[in-house]
Amino acid sequence: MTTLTHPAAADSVVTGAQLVLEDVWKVFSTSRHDVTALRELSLEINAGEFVAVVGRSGCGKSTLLRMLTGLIPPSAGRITLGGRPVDGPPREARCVFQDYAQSLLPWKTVGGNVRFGLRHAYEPSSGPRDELVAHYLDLVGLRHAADRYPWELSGGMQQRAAIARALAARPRLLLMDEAFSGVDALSRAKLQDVVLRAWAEAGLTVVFVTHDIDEAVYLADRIVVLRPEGHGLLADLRVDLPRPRGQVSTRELPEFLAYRRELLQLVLD
Amino acid sequence: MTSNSTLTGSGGTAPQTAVAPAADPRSRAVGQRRAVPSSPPRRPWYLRALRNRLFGWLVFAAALVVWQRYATAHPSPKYASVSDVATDWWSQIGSGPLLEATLQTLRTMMIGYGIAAALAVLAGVLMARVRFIYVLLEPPLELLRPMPISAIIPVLILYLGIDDKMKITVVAVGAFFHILLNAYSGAGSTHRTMMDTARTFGLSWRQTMTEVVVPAAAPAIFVGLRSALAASLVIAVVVGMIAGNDGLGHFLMIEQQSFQVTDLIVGAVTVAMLGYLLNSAFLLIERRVLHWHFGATRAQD
Repeated sequence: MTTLTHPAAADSVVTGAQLVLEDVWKVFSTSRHDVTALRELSLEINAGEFVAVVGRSGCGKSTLLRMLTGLIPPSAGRITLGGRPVDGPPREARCVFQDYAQSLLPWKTVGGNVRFGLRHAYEPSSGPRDELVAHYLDLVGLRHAADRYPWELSGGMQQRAAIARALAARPRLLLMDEAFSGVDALSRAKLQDVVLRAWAEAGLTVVFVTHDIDEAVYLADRIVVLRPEGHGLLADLRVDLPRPRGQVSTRELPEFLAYRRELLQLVLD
Repeated sequence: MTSNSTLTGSGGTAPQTAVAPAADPRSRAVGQRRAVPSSPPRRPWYLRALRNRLFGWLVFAAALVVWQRYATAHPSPKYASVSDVATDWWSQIGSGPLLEATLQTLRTMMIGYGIAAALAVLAGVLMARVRFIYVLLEPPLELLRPMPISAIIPVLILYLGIDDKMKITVVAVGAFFHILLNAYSGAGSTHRTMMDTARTFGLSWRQTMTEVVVPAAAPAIFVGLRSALAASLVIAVVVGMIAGNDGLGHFLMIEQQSFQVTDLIVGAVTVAMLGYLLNSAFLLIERRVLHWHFGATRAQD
């Protein structure tokens, strides 16, 4: 374990929720044997933090995220969000799934999907619905596509629509499960900046699962590295790169490259 | 090959390439233009005609002409000519027994179909999503399903008489299973990510059903609705024949028994046209309601 730092709370106005995991295990039982997807994970994610979770496939990072969404319960241990135990999908959390085509409602337009987010919001927005829809579409640069259907759009645009829908619900915690691995590299860069801007504006807590080290360093305040095959925490690394971050400027900083090297060594060893 | 020799001449001792035409820039250009994928060569006109929808209609028209010729060449009470059927139909469809019978059959059919649609969608969705409803309804429905609708008509006549109540019930029972099975499988196969989306957005069970499960199952439900529509017409006509008091089925039986061949065919043509019109109207509605589904399916291709 290289570094284990507990970052200070972010200094901007924060409305995000604090997430605490205490000795969390997840075991999937089949008829023949039990598979331990994640063991002994304890973490404290501060309100307003942007945390990336990385690790090789099979390390349990997606299992971890599904537990945070409340879609599956931990086998042992405790997860609390804002002090309350997570025993079902928390009202203040929204998730952006990797499979955007199955997450957006194909019978609704992009605007209709954002409206869905407004209607099923954690904190209802006030104001005319049309203006709110336009606002959230602006946030992801999709205003022009409000009347189009998701399946008429590229993958990157669909995922932006899904992000707009999640943000329209004004969550305190945004969970992203390899959300950008299905889109091309250029759309991906755009999506990363969309999420960073939304995070900065809304003061959310974000937990971002990815297998892309560069993406994790570029986005996060803090990177949680999981050991292979569900063996729990390997490293918890604070990323001290200046914000706002830029696709070109940040990625050529020597510090960026140093973080990248450190993480790659951790993950590949 | 003349250009080839020019090249050799200018190049002097330059080694000649094995594939001579490719070495010639002009011939390569021509070759490339040929290689561009283009539409296949036009088929001859008679093959193209066989692929045109008009062809089928022409064959149909030819069959009518043959029928007309045969009927006029062999005058017999057994045959009615096309022109007689057409004029008879035109004069009868506006009023009188044929119109009455048609409206009666249409009414029976649409009420029964509507009841079946409402109940079957409800039952199918609930069976797919509520374990208790599934275990409750699956055994009786599985036993009733293979039973031919004709077998329950006498039973229903015994208990419900021969009026509308019985006919509507028979149509509803016959249409029910077409829709039920499709609604059940459609509502049971909502994608996991879509269900997860509904859960993380905090939708209640009822909201999940109305806002996610049923719209996602709509394409499957429409498949059932369409086959149920065809079945409903068949059943509505047949039940009129068996009950023998009104509707197109009754009309057909009367004309057949009184040997009114032209009127008999007029009745049959009316049933056929009713079926065609109902199906066309259905497709029109389906296009509107499921335009997103057809669009998404096209987008995947």
